Amino acid sequence: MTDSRPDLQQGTLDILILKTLVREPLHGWGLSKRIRESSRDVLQVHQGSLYPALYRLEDQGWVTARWGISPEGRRAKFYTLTRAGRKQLVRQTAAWRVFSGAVNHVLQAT
Amino acid sequence: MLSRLLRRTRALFRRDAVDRDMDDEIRFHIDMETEEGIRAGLSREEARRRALIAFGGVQRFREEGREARGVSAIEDLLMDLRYGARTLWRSPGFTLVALVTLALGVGANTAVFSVVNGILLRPLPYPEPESLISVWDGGHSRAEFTRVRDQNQTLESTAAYMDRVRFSLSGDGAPARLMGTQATADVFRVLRVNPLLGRGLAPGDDVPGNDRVVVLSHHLWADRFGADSSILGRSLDLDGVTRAVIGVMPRGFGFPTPDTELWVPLLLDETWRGFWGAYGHFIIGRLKAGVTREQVRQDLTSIAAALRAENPYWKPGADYLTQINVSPLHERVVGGSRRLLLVLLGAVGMILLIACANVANLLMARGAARQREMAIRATLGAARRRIVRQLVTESLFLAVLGGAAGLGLAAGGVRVLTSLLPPNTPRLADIAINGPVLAFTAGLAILTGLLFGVAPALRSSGAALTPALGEGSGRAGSGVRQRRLAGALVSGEIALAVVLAIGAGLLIRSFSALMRVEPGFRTQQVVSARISPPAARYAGADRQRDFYRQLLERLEGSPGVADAALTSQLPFDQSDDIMAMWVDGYTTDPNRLEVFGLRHVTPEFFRVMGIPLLQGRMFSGADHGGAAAVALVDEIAARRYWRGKDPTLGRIRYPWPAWLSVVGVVGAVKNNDLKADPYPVFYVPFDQSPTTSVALVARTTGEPAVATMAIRVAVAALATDVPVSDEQTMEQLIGESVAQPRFAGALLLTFALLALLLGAVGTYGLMAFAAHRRTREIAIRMALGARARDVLATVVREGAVLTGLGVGAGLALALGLTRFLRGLLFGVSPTDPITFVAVPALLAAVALLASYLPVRKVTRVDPMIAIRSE
Repeated sequence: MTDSRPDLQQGTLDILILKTLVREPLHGWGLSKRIRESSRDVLQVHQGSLYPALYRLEDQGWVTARWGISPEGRRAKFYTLTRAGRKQLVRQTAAWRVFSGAVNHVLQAT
Repeated sequence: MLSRLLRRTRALFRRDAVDRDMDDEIRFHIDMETEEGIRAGLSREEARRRALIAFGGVQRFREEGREARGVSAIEDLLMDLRYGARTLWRSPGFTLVALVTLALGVGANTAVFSVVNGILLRPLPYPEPESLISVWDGGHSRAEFTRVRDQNQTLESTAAYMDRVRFSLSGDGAPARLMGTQATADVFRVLRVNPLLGRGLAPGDDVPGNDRVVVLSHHLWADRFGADSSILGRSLDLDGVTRAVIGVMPRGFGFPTPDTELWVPLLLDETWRGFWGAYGHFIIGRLKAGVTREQVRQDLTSIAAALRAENPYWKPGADYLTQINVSPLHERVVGGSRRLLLVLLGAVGMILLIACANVANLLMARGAARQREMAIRATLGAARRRIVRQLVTESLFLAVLGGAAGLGLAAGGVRVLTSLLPPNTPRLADIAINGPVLAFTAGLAILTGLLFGVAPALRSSGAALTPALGEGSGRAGSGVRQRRLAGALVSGEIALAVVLAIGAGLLIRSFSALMRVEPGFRTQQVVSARISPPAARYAGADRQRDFYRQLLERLEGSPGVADAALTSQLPFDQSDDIMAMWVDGYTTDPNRLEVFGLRHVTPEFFRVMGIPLLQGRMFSGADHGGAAAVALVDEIAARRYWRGKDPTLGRIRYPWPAWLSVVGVVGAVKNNDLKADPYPVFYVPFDQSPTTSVALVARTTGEPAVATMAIRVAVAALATDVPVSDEQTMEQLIGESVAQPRFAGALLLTFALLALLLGAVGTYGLMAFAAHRRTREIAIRMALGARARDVLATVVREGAVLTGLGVGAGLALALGLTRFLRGLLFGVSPTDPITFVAVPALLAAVALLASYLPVRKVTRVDPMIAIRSE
């Protein structure tokens, strides 16, 4: 992937996953596709980072995983946002706003 | 939180299921990706290939996935351990060398630490030991003690005691000589120790008439009286005085020394309030709550000022008021062993550092060989952190194994150490491998593992991957930085070995200087034994003269005995008989007393001991009880008190009116300590002032044991209640006085040899590795016509530089550190030039040899074979 699309840092990826799961439960592939689409192909989620991130979020109790049937009729693992995950999303979003605001500020300063 | 734990535990046990779960998920993802590729117009194969590439390292995903689930921590550890054990098993040479090195390092440290722990660190076995203090200014009289006891404001309780008082026990089987302590009634109350049976000393016991009581040690009770529980109230004949047994102390209690067998009251009534002489008493006390030692010192100093006002002649000359020393009781008990033990602990610490450096170098050399393995693992997607963790786990595994082996060595080492330690070492019985020691060893092993494991792990995991894979095993990863680190480690080892060897050299030179000191008497073919008639039954000058005259007559012509004599005090028996005397004409002040050592001897004493007459005459049979009182002085007294005058015209007097005419001057004799300058001594004829207990000295014609047997037989034939004890040759007596320096020298020499061995092994190992690495280079050079000598010189130069750096650093370090030896050295300066030149030269030679040998081997290999070998 030698294009200019930024690689996602861990904390950023977490917040994107949580945000994307707010609307509906998704499986891993659907999740990566949804993120790519909603960022208009700017954000590319490496599968190698996506699944570890999902397992980590699951371990922290912010998402739960359940095997289900995909719209294509295949067995797939669906991730659902938990109540704790929602709270975490609010917290992280606030933190992100502060952070990105600060970065913007710095970038505009000169 | 709980559910998280449950999930992790379940995941740990259902690892296969979890993995299958993950596999399913990956397969689903790749399938979906592939199908999307097909929809976009790719062939099935191409779509699948791209999906796989996009997914990245499957292995890595799995590892990270598992790690994120928290499964990995414990499982990885188990896996690493299994893997580590297999790797170690596969390279037995490396493992053996590393384990032996670690076991020696950890073992030596554990052994020395258990001694340090037993003697220095463990609190005294009394309740609230930190509030116990010892008062000391060189010795106290009973007059002082009564005032300290009654007037102090800072101590909750106080006691005075005189230790190492010998008692003759007779009746109940063979007469025996026992080690006792006379103590004031409060001694057990100060220590807060309760007897096992009966009661301890109590107020009232120290009043004349009530003082015929004795408390037994557990050891004496069990040994001599068969642990008879009806012992209380039984009468014992001690020094001919009948004392009732009032108590037995618990097992292990021995105050002030572990060999104390009994306690009797120290008399302390009104008559003793005026007893200003006899300074030999120790004072201990327990602090009142919230009082500091400094407050006690001020308190006692003001009492001392009052004492000085009461009796201006008390302790003349000594600047008493500034010399009161209030120290923790622990310090008094431990005494002079502290410095030696700390030096030894420092020495073994250095050995451990050397061992660590050696193992670290071994690991790095091996790490270079394993570079390919690491590179493959990293390419397959293993994270660097993960590889480091595995390498460190291997090191820790090695360290723990080494530590366990070291513990085994230490068990033997502690036995050897305690048997080598001077028998009068305090708290010998407290030395053991116990909980704190085990904890120390475990901590040491882990620290060691980290110390030698982390740097090599970071080194071998951090090397660039592609070159490592490309180049093969030989030179890969042995970059400049790694070589520099390895070189620094070897130089450091050599430096530490130099420090240890210089320390050992100094102690050994000091010991040999000590052994060259002339004690002033014959040490060979002389045995001594203490004869101790019970004082009460052998009271009176006539009785004593009579008994000893008969004894000496019986010994004449006894087998093995050439010549026999008596003395009230033997040199080097670690006691002092001091008398304050007036020297006629030396001062005009009638109150000015001079301190002498006093010896009551029979005329043959000087002949038996080989002490020369320098002036005047010896004692003879004519100096009997009825004749004019005479004395001999030694050359030190003659020089000090009769400077320029004829001592044989002089006279001296006890504090009471009885002049002794000095009839001769004899050679000076070292007293108790080869290091110390002897004090002036005067001798009086035994017949003119007999004593009950004496030491018998005899010149032997053969085996010392024959002579001591003859002495025992002669005494037993004369009396059944007189114990014979402390049979020793004069060589043994002097030997005991140098037991500590000998112990220090022997131990540090052992440590230095160990350090030298480890350092040599380390240097050899590094140079062998370096030479091996350069085999091809050397071979090419030789093939191109370089002479073996030149090649050798280039490579050996590397070793010489490391050696030079190490020796230089060692010298500098030793110059800074040997001053800690100052209190342990005699007749040699801490910067003794001979030691500081000879020892580093020897070590440099060994290190150079160790770096030369492996290189020489390489130059002998056929160049063609060497070149092809890679």
